[in-house]
Amino acid sequence: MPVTLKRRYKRRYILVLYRSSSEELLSMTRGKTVNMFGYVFAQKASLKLIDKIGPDLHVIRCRSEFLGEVLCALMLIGNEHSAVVLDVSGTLRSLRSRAVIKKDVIEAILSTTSTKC
Amino acid sequence: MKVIHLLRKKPLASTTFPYLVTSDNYHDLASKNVDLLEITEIDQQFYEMLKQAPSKKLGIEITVSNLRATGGQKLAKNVALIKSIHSFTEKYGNQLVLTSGASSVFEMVSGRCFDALLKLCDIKPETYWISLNNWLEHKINMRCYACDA
Repeated sequence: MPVTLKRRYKRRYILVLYRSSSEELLSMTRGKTVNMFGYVFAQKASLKLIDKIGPDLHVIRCRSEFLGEVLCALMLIGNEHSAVVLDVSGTLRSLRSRAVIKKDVIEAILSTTSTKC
Repeated sequence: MKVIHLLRKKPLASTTFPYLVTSDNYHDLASKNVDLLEITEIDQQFYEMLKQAPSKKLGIEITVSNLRATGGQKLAKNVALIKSIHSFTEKYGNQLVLTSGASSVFEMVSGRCFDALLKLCDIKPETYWISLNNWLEHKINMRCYACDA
């Protein structure tokens, strides 16, 4: 019988635009995942808060097999604050490098929308 | 960049910009002027009316902002509804249109999330986007537009 290495599960890092605290984002995402798919699924998805880039950009991590369902939950959270998924990546390094560019674009967009309001 | 305007009423004269006429009242199914019909609540009568609708290639719009307002059982019902409307529209030559319904930057939905929602509803994202593109091209190209002076 061939010897195989025990491989660690694959992860995906999600960059989210959310106008509140990271803890609230994580609890809202967990809550919605439980609401939509159940407790077992939410536990298996192993959602974790990884980073915060600037005031509104958050990075959360999940298992790659459950990415579709986590994206659905993220899309459907919130009545007061809703979350916008900006990017998904397999490595944190590439996500961070892309997030720096996106951060500048978003800040420019938000400044123009706030001046219009 | 080409922007498609959403209008509540069909303009009396030809326009310089592409547009779609929208409505949120499903009794407008009988009207030939409506291109896109937004639905929130649905019953058996809707399906009957859609079968008898005079204009084929009608867009049936479901917004994510409406889905966001629901939770639990109602949300599950809405997901089943998207699936049933998709198969129904395919059968009768209409088009399902999923939109964000966003009124601000913070309510926008990315393409990847739409794909995830479509997969959740057992709809192949590739076939959905191709049919939506064909439907939009058909709707925009069937009209005469005034030339820019």
